[in-house]
Amino acid sequence: MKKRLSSFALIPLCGLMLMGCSVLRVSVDPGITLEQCGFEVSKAHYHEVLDELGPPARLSATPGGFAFMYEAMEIDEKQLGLSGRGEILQFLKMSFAGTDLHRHAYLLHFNHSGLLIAAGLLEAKEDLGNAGSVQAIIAVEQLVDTTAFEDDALDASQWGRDLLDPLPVMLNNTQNLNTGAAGLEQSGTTTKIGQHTLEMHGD
Amino acid sequence: MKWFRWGSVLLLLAVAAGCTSDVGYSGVDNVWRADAAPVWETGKTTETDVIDALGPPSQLIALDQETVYYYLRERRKGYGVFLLAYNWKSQDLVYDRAIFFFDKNGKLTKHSYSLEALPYEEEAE
Repeated sequence: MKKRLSSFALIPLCGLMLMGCSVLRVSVDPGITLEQCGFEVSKAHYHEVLDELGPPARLSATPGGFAFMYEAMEIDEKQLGLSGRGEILQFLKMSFAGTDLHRHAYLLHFNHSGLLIAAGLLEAKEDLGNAGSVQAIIAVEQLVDTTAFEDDALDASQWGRDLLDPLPVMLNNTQNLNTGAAGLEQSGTTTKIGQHTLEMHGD
Repeated sequence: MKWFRWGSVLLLLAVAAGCTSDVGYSGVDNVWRADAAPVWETGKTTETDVIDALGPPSQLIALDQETVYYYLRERRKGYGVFLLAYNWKSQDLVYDRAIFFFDKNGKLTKHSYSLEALPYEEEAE
């Protein structure tokens, strides 16, 4: 009887061994805090903003002056993995994942004299989506694609790569929002809006 | 006997566990964080002075009244622990930035460094 009980106790343990969970976290530019985002329109000068916050994540010329954008993001992906018991199934892991994005974005628009004429703060928690996969044995990899939130720094220093883009994208480079001359957009903005619509993205 | 069984489970977990760590850099060298970095003087420092000291910027932005030199260095640092039943992985992207504003005569009007700083690693000669 005792032996039987210990066998039953092993079943949930085996179940636990066949399940696994993974937590993946990406922190992008922790940068500024919300307390630092209180500049007054028509009073603050861009020198004051730079002294307080440092250089912005993005900067662009605008017809009336120029604009700064500060961003801080944290991406959290939680995965649940299940493995099978069969001969082949034991080498496979099925994963299900859900990803959340916590974002702070602070936009400041200055006139030609450097005086703040408009400012806006976004604090949001966004659901980036869910995904599932079948992986070999154990693989701890992100399932939800978050590269659109992580590639900003490379855009500034790898501009030559633009020449290898598909033709509609390359021809639209004069409208590119990463050049600092054509405006700004938040990280991860869909390509179904504004200048990007000219790039004829199919998906 | 019981201890042996549980000890075996713990041993199996210890053997099968793993950890990872990686670090990668991109962007320009953050010379502005060097001990011997120049002192910038508003109205005196020129674009040439900045380029001589820091090299070409990551991005040059033309504003209506001013020119902006934007320097950027990125560090991706990742680490993780894999325990089979529970895995945890984290990646931090930190940007070290320097920005310089020049007037139409090429004189410095304003400069600023990011609050987050990466240590400057001098290249071996």
